[in-house]
Amino acid sequence: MRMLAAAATLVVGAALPVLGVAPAHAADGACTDPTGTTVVVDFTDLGGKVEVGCAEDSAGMTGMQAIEAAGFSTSVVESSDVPAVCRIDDQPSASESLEVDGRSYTEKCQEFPPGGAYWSYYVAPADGTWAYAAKGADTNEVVPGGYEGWRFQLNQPADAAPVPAFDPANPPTATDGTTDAAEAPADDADAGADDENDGTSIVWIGIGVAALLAVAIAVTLVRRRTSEDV
Amino acid sequence: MPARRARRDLHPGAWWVWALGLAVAATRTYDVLLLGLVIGAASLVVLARRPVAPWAMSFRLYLALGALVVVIRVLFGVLLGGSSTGTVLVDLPQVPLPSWADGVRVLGPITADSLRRSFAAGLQLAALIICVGAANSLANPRRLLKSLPAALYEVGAAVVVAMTLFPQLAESVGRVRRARRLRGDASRNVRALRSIVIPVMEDALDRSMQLAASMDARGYGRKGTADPRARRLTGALLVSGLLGVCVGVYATADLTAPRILAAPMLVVGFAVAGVGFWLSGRKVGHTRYRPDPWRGWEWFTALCGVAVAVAFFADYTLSPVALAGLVVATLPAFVTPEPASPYATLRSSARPRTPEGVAA
Amino acid sequence: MIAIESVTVTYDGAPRPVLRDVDLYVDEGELVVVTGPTGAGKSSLLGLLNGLVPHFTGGHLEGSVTVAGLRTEDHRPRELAATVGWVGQDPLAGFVTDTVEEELAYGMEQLGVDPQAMRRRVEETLDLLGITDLRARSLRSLSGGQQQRVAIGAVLTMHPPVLVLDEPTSALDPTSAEDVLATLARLVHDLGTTVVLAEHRLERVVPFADVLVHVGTDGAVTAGPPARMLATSPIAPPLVELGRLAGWDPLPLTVREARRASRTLRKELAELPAPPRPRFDGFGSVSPRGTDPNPTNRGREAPLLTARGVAVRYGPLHAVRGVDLDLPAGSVTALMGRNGSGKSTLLWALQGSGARHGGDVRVAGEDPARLSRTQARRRIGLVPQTASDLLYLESVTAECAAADAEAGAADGTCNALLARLAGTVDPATNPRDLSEGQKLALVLAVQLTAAPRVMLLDEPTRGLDYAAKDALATILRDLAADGGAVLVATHDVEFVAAVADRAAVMAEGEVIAAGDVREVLATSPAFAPQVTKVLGDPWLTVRDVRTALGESR
Repeated sequence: MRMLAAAATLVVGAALPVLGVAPAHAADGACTDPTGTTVVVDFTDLGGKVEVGCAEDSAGMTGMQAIEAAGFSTSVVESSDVPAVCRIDDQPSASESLEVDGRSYTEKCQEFPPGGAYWSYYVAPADGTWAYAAKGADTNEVVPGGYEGWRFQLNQPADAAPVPAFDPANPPTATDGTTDAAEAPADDADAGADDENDGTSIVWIGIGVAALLAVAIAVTLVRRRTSEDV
Repeated sequence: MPARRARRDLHPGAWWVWALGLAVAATRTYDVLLLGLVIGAASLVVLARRPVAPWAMSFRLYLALGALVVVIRVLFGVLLGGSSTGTVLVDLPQVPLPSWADGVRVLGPITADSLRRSFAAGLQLAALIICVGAANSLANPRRLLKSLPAALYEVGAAVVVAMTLFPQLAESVGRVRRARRLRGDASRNVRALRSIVIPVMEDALDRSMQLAASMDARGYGRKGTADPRARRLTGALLVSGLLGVCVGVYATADLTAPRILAAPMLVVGFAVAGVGFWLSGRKVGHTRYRPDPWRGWEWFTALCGVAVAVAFFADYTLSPVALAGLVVATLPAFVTPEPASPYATLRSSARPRTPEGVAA
Repeated sequence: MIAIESVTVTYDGAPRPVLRDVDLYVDEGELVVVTGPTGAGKSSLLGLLNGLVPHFTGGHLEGSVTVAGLRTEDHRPRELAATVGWVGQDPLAGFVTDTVEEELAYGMEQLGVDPQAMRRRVEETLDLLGITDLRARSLRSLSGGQQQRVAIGAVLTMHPPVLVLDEPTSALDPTSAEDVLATLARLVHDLGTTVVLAEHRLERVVPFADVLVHVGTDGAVTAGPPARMLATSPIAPPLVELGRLAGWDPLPLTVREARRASRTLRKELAELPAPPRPRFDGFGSVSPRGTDPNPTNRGREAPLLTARGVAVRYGPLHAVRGVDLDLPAGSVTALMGRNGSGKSTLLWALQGSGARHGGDVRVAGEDPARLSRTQARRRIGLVPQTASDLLYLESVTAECAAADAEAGAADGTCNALLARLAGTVDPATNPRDLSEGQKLALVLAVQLTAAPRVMLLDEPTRGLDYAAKDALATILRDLAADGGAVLVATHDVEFVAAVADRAAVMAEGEVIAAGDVREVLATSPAFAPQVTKVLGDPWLTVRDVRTALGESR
């Protein structure tokens, strides 16, 4: 009977992944209001561009809350209690093979990323320069009117990693960021929808297998008990 | 199918390979459903194929230990893993820390995602523990030690003897504690500890001496027929082979080391050590009574374990490949021969013993 | 086959040699019984035969020991394994493996016998010892007699010409002991094995022995045919003592010989009145379940211990089922039964320190299980099977001082008791260095310091020689004479005959026979003492006969 309880727990546990669904991407350029914080994400090392978003009314927000409010989606490392970002906007994706230190590497988001392929986190005050953040994104409080910077470092030396390609002292005009951002949401939304459909069906198959397993366990238990009574 | 009808105990190595394959698979994923299925698969096979013997009854303990690990891990997750984003389940007040511990969050809002991650991490550990427990419940540890290469025979015998020691120690402690009550001594201070430890140690020492005398009198430790030069050669082969294996393992883990030291060194090291084992085993003077055979069913069971590990290496997320691998891992529960335990006789011997032993 | 020449063995740090100038020659196919007082060196003599002394135990050996042409000086025990099969005192402690079959094969594995021959020999040995249906059993689940036979089988598979056993029947009840001894006799007669065994309870082995060896406390060893040795030996079984008393020549060694020789004696005794048991006369009762206690109970002093319907359960196993028991003041009651019948469990339940799942026990009007342990032991004390479990301090004085403190008695009570029980014991000795008899006396003194009126003893006679058993019997009779009640669980029939007034037999957790000791012992072939087998009811011990003859002459 303990086995049946265990099986039930598995089914409930399986339902949990369905809960944490990431919000859709909708970054739309730097903040125009000094109450918000501009979030800059530099995808250059991954072959992308610099994307800029704004976290409105960012007083009291943490770095993680700010980047999500700015319209980016993040994934954190599975094995860590303290949230550690391994993907922004699903990059680097699980199907992407990177060349790290001369060997190929895929970001599976199960363990901490290696020193040759990771997301680095910077902060900058208004009209200031980028500085490596002192605290992790989940505990760092953002400064309204300041800047949050994220850059993917691919094969960069640890002591001389480049900062995001966005100068907080001379922010580019709002129009540059918006055009890139506007095209992205539609594709991502469609892709997201497809993934979710496949995702749920395999979850149901998995739950089905778990149920079969629970039944098999119960049957075996009963059979062993009765045969031992002979 | 006569091969299936005949009951026999599989070679313990087969069960261990199967269990280790399942454990390796468990280390690849943090998906809660997959981990739960791994635990379920291990439990099913244990329930279906463990013999009725005292050593096989400990699986419940492993399950309990796994549950404890999960609970502790989740508690740690609650303690340290508060997250600022995601669906908040419980908003615990964050504990203010001094400025030098600023980066750490103690308590704070507990989100569904962070809870799931801690649960998954705990479940992964629990799955590892349960896989090892499954191997222990399916394969008689003593027969496993007997299957060690002949070169390790003496080490294996020492481990087997040590394994007998613990239940005897437990029995001794029980007996001495009861005897203390006869002296009216129910105190629990340090002196009380001494009044238990000394008789138990005495008893243990006495028994070890008697066991040693008995083993000596029956010929344990007879020298083989090898001459010193051959022994030195095999010793050198063994040591250098094992060193090679160490270097190979390190190089595989450290990605900056030259590749020539990784896989090739592992292979060479294993080969040299293997030759050393074989050579030293040949000259040891003893034989094995009814060694466990390694036949078709052993290959099948071992390959099931390997299959699930390979499947999880190929795809560690919830996917048809992983599910298929898990189904393969449960096959030994249905098709392998049932264990050869004679229920009637072993059941009477597995009955609870009176505290003073069989002589009541 | 065995030649021991001018051997002197001295252990490290011992003031005197344990064996002095021993000369012993044993022919092939003889059954040799080694006897002697406790602590005299019997185990050392046996250890000489396979080289354990001095290779394993250390010490200094002068002289030479040759077994089947091999000198133990040149060969270590492991090299003599195929020549001498040695079985130690505790067979369970000597088991290396899990199951019977593997244990039998272990020795052969070490010798490198090829697998086919191993299979064959294991089957042969299983048949020879009658343990075929035990082949897959776990060793720890076997009874004492079965364990002893497996231990013998484990060395027999190596086909040694010499078999050495150290006290093989000490832990066994009479029937199992008969089994083991019969097996050994068969080995000697059918296979021509030379068997050397050490034994305290001569009454069992003397009929089988070809040579009797006596090891004295001074290390001197004498050997000879049993009839000659027993004529003058201080240690003799009851039959021989009876023979000496009645002046029979040659001394009878078996019950059959004694019955033939005893015709005149029996006629003489038939005219004498039955010996009064000076203890007490039929009050109080030890009744099997369902029978009323003796009505003449009323008006006399109430029994010191009353138990009704005592039941103890270990999981699904009912170790004790509904036992009723009365222990009258001034009596010694013996509790007999085979190993596993529930005697120990009953004793622990009565004292209150063991589990009790049903029934009622009253000592001096109170239930000992409900009292604190200190209070309980002032009313009822128990000496457990492994007496040394209670000893944990470094010297006898320290133990006694602790005992006085625990029992709240005056200083020196325990010492006085010990002096009365065991005579002079060096107060600075470590309790573990004492002999078995002295250890038992020390534990008894410790328990008696609390002055309980009821005393329970669990198998106290294991490892004691006749002299020590006589001393223990006197102590117990004194306790009864002081007005206490004693309950002794034992399967030593001769001891029961010497010490008890009442006897109860347990089997499967129930009392199946109870009453006056004469009734219980005389009516059962397994439990009859030797004197009863020869002279019949109501003669139980040689002392009875001596008293009766002494009074009449």
